Amino acid sequence: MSAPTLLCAVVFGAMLAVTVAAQPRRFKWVRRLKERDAGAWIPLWTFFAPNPGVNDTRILWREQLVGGASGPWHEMAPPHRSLVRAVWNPDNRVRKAVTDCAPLILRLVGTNRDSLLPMLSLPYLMIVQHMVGLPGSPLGRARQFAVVNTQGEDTEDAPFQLLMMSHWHRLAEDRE
Amino acid sequence: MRDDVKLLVDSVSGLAEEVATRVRLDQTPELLEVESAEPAPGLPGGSICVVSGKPEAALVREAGEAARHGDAVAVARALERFDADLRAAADEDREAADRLPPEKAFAELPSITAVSYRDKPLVEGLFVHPQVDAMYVNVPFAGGALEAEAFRASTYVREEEAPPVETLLIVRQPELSPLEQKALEQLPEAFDQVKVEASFLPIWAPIVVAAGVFLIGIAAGYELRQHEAIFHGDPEIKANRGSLSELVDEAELARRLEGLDPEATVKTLVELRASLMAEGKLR
Repeated sequence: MSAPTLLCAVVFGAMLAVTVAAQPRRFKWVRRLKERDAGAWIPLWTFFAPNPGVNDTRILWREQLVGGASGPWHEMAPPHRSLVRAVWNPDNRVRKAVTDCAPLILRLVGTNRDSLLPMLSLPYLMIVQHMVGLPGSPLGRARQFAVVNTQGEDTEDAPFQLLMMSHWHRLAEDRE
Repeated sequence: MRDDVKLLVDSVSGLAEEVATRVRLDQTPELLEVESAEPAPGLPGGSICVVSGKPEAALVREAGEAARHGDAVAVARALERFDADLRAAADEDREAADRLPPEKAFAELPSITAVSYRDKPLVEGLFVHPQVDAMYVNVPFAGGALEAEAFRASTYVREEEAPPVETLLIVRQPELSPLEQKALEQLPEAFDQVKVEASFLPIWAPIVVAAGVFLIGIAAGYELRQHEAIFHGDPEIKANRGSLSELVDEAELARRLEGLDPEATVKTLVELRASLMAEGKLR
């Protein structure tokens, strides 16, 4: 092998190795190298998301009646399958808020397990505020929400997992 | 003030004044559960229909009989017939009737009924009138077990010999989606504390991707590390994914949170947050 060939093999081989190492975006030395890469010699390919979303994070809520009985669970932003959604889809904002807020609440609760602090966070307040405004009954005393993960269609044997359940939140101070 | 608004104000205050001058007769209304696989628009899933009137009134008889058979569709039909008759009667009387002031109109009512559950008002102002022998009101209901004995129908009459009034509560539980049904079966009934599960559902697609990546020798542990970091606290990843960066004074916050009721209303929570932000304890 001639010297130029060997040089090319080393240079391009190194570029290939660094390019490959840069894709996960986890190695500090690659990040440092990339910061100095003014000519964009180390490409970052983003054809695929590193964590493709295959789970659906959904929020359910239920109502506690005066007297203490709990009602069934209701989905906060149920999916609506309709062609009309292509042109008129106002519920999309609520669903987007749910999918954005739920993971944030999970993380806050996960890192503050014995604290009520997450209850003061904006995502939690947004969800509770929306929940108490949903139609219920005049007999309701309090409401509670749960964050669950599902996968695929809602069939009987489809995966379903509880991730978090909130405290009950009274609907009003004077509605005991 | 517009005439219609004034009429509303007079009516609401007039009804309360009228009820205050009457004798109250309490009874336990009949609680009936109905269901149907077919749509019943007049009595949708997740509603309580309160029917009150003379026992011989068509609405009370027909709706009661249908409800005792548990047939939501037949109840909805009875309600529909009542609505049609009421509209027809109202159209006939529209031109002939001289409008009475609310206080006089209320005084003519033989009975006015209110329904409560554990002393919490459910419906008020169901009256019997010489031309309207029964009324119904549909109220939304999120579902749950109701105790028949906890309901009370209070009928306000001028004297104890007033015509008997029968009150029915026709309950149709909400229809649940497959997900809601599954939640009802799998989620704990009595659970009121925050809990986070550490594991997620199997994520097959990333596992396949990770396996492919592993084969070419790159970032074999990436998925696992990412997963571990999110759920077990890698500070670097958490910083980008919603940590409590708004927290300013942790000790002071802990002290303030000691007095916070976990069942606080959203109003209380928002007020506490606003107050902490105003004090600079929370961003």
